[in-house]
Amino acid sequence: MDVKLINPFVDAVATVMPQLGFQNVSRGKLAVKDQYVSSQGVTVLIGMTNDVRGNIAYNMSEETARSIASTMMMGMPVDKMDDMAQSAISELVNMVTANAAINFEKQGISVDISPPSLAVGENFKVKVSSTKYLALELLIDSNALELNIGLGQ
Amino acid sequence: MGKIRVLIVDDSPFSRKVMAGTLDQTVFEVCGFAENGWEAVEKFKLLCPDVVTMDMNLPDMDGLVCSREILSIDSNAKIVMASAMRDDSLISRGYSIGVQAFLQKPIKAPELLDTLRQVCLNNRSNQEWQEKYLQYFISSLQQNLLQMAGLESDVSTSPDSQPKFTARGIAIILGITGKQTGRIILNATEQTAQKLTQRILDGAAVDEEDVLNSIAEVANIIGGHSVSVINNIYRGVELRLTPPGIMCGNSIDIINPKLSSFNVIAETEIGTLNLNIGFAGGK
Repeated sequence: MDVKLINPFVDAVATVMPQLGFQNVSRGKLAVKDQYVSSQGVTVLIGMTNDVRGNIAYNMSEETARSIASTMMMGMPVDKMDDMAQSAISELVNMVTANAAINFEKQGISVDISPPSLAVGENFKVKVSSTKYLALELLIDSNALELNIGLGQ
Repeated sequence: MGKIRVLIVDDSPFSRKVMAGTLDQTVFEVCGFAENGWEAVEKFKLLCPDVVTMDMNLPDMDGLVCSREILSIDSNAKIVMASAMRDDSLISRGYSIGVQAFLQKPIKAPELLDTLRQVCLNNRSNQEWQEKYLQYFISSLQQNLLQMAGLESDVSTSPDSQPKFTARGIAIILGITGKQTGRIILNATEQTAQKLTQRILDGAAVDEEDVLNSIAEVANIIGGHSVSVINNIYRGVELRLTPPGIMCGNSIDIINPKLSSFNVIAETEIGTLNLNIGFAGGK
């Protein structure tokens, strides 16, 4: 997978997160992987079609998901992964991926995105791509978010 | 089916007249006009239109602020921005607020009609469309199980009132893009998936990787056939499938808050296969 395909996502996170009330977004490690993504508890899968095809799995712990949902809801406490929190996290993934899609368009690459599927459970694994994918670690305020990007042109 | 009611928000009498003229004698009907943001909010509450066209520059607020006001009244409101400007930051801010589409002035008549139609497909006619689509998924599921694995199946279908689907074993997720977005989940236990794979491969020994790959391909074929038939019948919907995403686990809750879905259960001699089809909107 071409490493250049991650830039639209990095830019999207940097654009969207501050709009939702997050202060600091920093990039951690980037690794090439070919195995399954082990879910940290909450994994959101979203697909792309058109010039770029594949899936992206946004992976985070339930604690992180609750913390992010709380910030998105103006600091309202989120004690469990209820409907509101699920909806907030799905919306976040939708916004970031839609913004990445706009960034692809700027490069003349046309993409469409599917609705996000949020998966919650214990000990499950996810495969985003039949070949290699890129795992990008992000730190959003103190929340660790992992983007597993399996895309091809 | 009644007409689709449109509220036109624009401070320019010229633009209001042009848009109203375009919508005249179509499936749409203009239910009201607003010249500024607050009037738009009031008329929205009063008229409950199916869709709103929103100018970017209103005398009292910008069109995005006005859209946010309207979406805070009804989070399912359908808003199409119509503006002379159409830059990326505007589009990105608009989408993050919940605006559904952007048009640049001067707006060509077919473009306006197509866009409003697309946006409204996610509205009231949605349920109807989904039920029509469903039969193609069911027949593709049954035909392909028979052709690929020689399996007869008994199928039962029910609307899924929950946004949550609990998958056990292997779940293949295919996203749907196009004029209607959604997703398909094919779910089977590991045992059933393994038996299915063996039948497809004429009894050859299979490992876990073979099973996952073959179930993903089965889902891809069932989804691909269904979508091709739908695209042929309903011109212009242009549905596309994302490559399959695979999930494995004992119990995975797969949640799509904005989809309404149908659950198709196929009972076969090797076990149960579950096909869950969800499309955005319709609630």
